[in-house]
Amino acid sequence: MTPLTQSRYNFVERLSNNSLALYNTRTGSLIHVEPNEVKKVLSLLSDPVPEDPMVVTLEKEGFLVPYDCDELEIVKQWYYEWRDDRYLIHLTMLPAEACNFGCPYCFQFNRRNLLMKPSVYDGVFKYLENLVKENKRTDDNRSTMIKISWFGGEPTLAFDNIVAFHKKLKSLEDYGAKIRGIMVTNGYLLTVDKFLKLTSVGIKEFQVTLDGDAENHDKLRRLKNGKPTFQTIYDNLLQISQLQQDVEFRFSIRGNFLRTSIDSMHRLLEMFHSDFGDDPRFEIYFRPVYNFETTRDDIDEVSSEICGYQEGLQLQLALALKTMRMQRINSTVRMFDPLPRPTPSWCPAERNYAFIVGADGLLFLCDTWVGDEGLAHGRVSEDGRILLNEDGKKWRVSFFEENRKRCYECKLLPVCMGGCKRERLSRLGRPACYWSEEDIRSAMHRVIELNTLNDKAEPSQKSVDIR
Amino acid sequence: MTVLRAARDIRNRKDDWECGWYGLCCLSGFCCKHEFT
Repeated sequence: MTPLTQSRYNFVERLSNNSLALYNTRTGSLIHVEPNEVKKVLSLLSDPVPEDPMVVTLEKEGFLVPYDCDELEIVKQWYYEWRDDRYLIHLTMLPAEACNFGCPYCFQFNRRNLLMKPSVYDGVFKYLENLVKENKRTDDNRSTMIKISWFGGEPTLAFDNIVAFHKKLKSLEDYGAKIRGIMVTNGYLLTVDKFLKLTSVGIKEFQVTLDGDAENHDKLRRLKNGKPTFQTIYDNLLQISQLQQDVEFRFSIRGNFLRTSIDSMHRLLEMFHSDFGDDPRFEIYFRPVYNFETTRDDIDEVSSEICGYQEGLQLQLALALKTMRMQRINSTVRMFDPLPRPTPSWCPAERNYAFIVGADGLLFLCDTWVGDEGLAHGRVSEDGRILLNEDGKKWRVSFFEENRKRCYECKLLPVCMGGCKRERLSRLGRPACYWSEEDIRSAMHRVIELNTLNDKAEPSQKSVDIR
Repeated sequence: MTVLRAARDIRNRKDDWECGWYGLCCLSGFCCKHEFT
């Protein structure tokens, strides 16, 4: 039997009550060790006794690995399998690079005020059709998953074209394709009738952003003419929630917060809990506003209120924990889990079968560069070919060919994978770290506390306020 | 010793890699590493 040794991806953290937390970034496993077992577990980690039941668990969970196991190689394999998986196609479509809102923090790099041309829909369909048919010829037993995210601008401005495209896509189901439609919309035009039409053609996942309660939301997410939008959006959501439970969909409400709008986020959470809290089809989460470079200066209106990196992360976590408590969400729900899980890559921008398709057929590999012809990575032709330009080809160089020794040796590699590619490439060799080891240790404490609390008491809205 | 979160081999997926780390929220331009389910 090959001797065992500790994984290079282990975190071992002493907790305040003398218990121990173990976390492994490659497997995502988290173990809590009671105080009376700590000495033994630490001993077994450094000197494993193969037949001990605890060793069996530690090996199963990835904290102990065979001495000759090359864990970095395993991580590399994930990355390449995921990057090159032609059976998963993810297209972010921009049917309207135009918007009825005028949010100051909009991160669309350049607003072009375009609606998607019919020839672009045709080209995208042809690309998908060719790939699905080829996949079926290669492996008749394997489905091709096509994930279409409708984004913008504001996608509901191109409502009829989206519905028509999804109807056409259905023909690919005959070749084993599974189609998953997602829409990110501001929700202003999303009446219940339109919503039902979209679900009927296969778009069943939605996201709408509310920036807190009406008072705060209407300062930021207003119409171009400055008029408020909160009540219209909220009324649409309430009507959608009245639909019978057999209408299947998932609806996410996202709260974008600034340093100055945290109280408003808490009020939104109370409203959500009261109006949608019992409907499993609805969920809510919160993220800080980020300051991305664009061609405009409207971000200046709020830039002094944008959270710093760590500040945003801490506030996001506090809101997530409160949401979990109020909504009685188990911490195993990934969206709210403070501890990251292993990932094949930071974001789909590294995949060979993921593109953002602009309204005129330009392809963007990163969603923060949308709308700028100079930053496009290629285009889709009318006959369905993906034509990458030189920048696109450079972007497609794999993370493991970038010679990032610090990343490859980092304990956080499996949950980070080099971080944001745009950041990484712009930093000339310096890593684009999001998580630090300190963040991980802090999150381990929080998760164990949370689990201990969950064991002791039924969480309730009244008893918990973690602000 | 209690396993609070079990190990998962991320290659054991069904038909979607999105076991993922990039839910809808990635469209903020900043992937948060979490998903909804």
